[in-house]
Amino acid sequence: MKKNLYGSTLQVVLTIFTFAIVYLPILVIILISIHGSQYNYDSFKLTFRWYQEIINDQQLVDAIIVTLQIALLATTISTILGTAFAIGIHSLKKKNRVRMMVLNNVPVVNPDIVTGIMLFIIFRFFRMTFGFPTMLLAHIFFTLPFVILSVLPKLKQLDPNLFDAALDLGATKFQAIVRVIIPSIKIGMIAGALIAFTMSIDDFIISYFMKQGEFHNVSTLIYSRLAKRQISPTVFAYNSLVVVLTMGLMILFNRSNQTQKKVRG
Amino acid sequence: MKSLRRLIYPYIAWLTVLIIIPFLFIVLATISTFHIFNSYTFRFTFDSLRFLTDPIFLNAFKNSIKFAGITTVICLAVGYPVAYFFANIKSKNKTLYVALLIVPIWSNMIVRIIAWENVFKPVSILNLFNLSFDMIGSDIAIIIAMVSMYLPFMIFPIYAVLDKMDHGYIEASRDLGANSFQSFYKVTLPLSLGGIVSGIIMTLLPAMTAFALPERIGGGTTILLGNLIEKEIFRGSFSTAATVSFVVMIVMLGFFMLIVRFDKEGETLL
Amino acid sequence: MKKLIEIEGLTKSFDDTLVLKSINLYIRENEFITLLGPSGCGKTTLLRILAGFESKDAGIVKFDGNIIDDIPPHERPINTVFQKYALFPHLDVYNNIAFGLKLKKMPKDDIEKAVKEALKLVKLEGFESRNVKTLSGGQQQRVAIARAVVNKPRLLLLDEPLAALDLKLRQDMQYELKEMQRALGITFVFVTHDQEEALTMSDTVVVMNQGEILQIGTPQDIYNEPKNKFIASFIGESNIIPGIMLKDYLVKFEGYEFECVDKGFDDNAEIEVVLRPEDIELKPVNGGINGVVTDIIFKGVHYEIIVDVNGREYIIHSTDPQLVGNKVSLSFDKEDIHVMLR
Repeated sequence: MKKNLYGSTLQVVLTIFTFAIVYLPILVIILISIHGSQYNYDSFKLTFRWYQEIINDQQLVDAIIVTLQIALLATTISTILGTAFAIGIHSLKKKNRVRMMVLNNVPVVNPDIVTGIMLFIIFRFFRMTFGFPTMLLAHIFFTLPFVILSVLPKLKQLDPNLFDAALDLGATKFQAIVRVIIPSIKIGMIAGALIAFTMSIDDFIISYFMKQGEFHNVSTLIYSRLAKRQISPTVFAYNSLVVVLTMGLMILFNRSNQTQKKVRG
Repeated sequence: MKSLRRLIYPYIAWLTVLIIIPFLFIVLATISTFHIFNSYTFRFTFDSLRFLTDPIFLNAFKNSIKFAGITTVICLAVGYPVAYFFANIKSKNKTLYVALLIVPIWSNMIVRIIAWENVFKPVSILNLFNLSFDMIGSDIAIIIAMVSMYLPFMIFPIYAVLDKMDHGYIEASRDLGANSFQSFYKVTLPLSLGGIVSGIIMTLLPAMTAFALPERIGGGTTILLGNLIEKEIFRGSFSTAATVSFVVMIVMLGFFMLIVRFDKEGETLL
Repeated sequence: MKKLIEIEGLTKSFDDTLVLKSINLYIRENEFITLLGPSGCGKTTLLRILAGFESKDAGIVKFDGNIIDDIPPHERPINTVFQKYALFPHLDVYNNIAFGLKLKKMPKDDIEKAVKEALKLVKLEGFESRNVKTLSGGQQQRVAIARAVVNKPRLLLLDEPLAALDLKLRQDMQYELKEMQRALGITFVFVTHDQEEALTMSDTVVVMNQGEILQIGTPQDIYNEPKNKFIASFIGESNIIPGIMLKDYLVKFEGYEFECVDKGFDDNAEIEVVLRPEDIELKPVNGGINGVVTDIIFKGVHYEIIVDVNGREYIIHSTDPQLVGNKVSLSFDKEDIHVMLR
């Protein structure tokens, strides 16, 4: 086939543009995190002092702990519940399955601010105290649909008789799920968990509606400091660490994936 | 597997409490004196609907449509070719390239917004390179920042659809006499509509309702629907916040119908 | 022989469609019984009710004389070979086969022995650590059989297990399955829509259509004495001609009277006559049923010849070719005339 040269040049240019515009803020963040002065930009002074100061910023450390706790708990709970719900949805007939998925996808499509308002309303209605539990519930709420969305296609790929085959060979329903269905949809569950974790760590808007007094996750803490004009480069240092770490993990994961493929031939 | 259907009952209960009931509350608050904070009187009234003719609302609505619309158009125009490029590269590192677009999302959104705020301020880290912009409050600054935030969300669903597409379709269309433009226009594009719709939703709706971004980059003067909702709810003005949310929900439901048409179970949303 | 399964008045419907209409059937011990019918006839549903995956609406299902309604599938001494095998993708061949035994908490050494034996039975020795996804269709099929029989079920259900294999492999497996059934002494219930499969392997064939049992009999019975038009046309090719049963042993069709071996119909009953293509011989024109050869197709072992008799087409299988346009006469023995009610 003859290559459309104009088309592919345009594609390359736009791809470069995409990486540039998406990575520019990341580069700025890293640059600020290793520049010696908060106010003086005349000349560059390399420093790692902001990284050292992360541990001295007790409020930030607390917020990081909250963020991680919420993310880990929400991911674990969403993955377990989401898998169970996905198995239930998968066993429905087509018509009801589509209905359930439409409902499931409401939080996915819903703008975060509306989701935030909805949860705020219902938690207020039940007179719940805002803080850790409400934030956790909120994070489970918006991560759950993503787990279901990533597990369901894996279930569809399974042989429709797999569950029955396990029962036939003497497994109880619970054993059939744990020993046959779950190992077969593992990849979907892991993908779902990763998405859930990413969404949870990154969330600002929904968490913002769940805040209470001085209880903060990283996002809401930074936002509140912005309002008070108290942003120090430690925040940027923390953020750079997260980015570098995830990028490293991703490349490592890609490498090990490839060697695995090679071994298998 | 029929016996496993019982597993969905708790999920139905969960979705009812957290989606359907709050949705009804929002509708109720829009058309009556219903109030979650202090509900002593109840009568139907369309007072809060009057807010929809208020210049504050109209201005925010206009801004939302303008910024989210322009951002979405740019994201689609840039994102589709990029997704197409990613889907067609023959490299063993293909997934890594796509995954590299996820990395920035791992960086906190607020911090990225601050980074853009820095870029557009006259005194900033860019001075190190003898660069200085003074663009806070300008439309262009808001749009650039929005494109930067939401472009990956346009690319992922389109890429997912294009990557899965059977190359045989394109070969078949070429075999039947379509030139490369025709085969793209008549085969590839219609088959990727599901991804496009998902991409538009994932870009347009968050952009319309963003509030931290317009607040920081807009220098506090550009108000979008998101800013309005946030201000009203924390001011304790529940009914106006609900009314604005209701408007956003109508827009969302419109798009939702569209997505259900193309992709019943929302597989392209991931 | 003892009755292993007794089914009486079994009824089942899905969303207002009746898929099983009051089925009565018994299955003897050590029998190879085949449920034969087109897709959607209810045969798979019947199988799934036996296995315990579906519940019934009404009727009685007894296993070894006991009603088994309340016994969940995992406690029934019944195993199934599924249509697309349903091998567990995350387990290797050994662990697929050992799955049932492990759940029964059998000692490890015994499991190992049993799996080895099962693999030997299906001729897959040495395949223990293979990934099931890398096996060919035929090999997966064998693993599926081994995984079921290793549990020593009293009854083995096979749901179209050969449907996904190619012709040659399918024929080999037919033979092997029959051998296996004899060697193991297990009752086999085999579901298929392929009449050749049913006739080759079974002791008993049960022909089903639209949720009803049409005929139960040996393969010979079913082939030679189909009870109605549906069975006659479903089982092999046949010429079906309307006629009248004048009295016992005398039938009239195509304007001629023929002696036959059938009796027990009302005098002058409206009937249909089945003539198998291989039972008709073509002779030079004489006083009988005459026609013109309109088409001839070479089929390998025989020629398929189409003869037009006053507007009705007959299919004849013959080893002797004919020229298109030849005038011929149809000839058959009285034993080859099969009469059934219209």
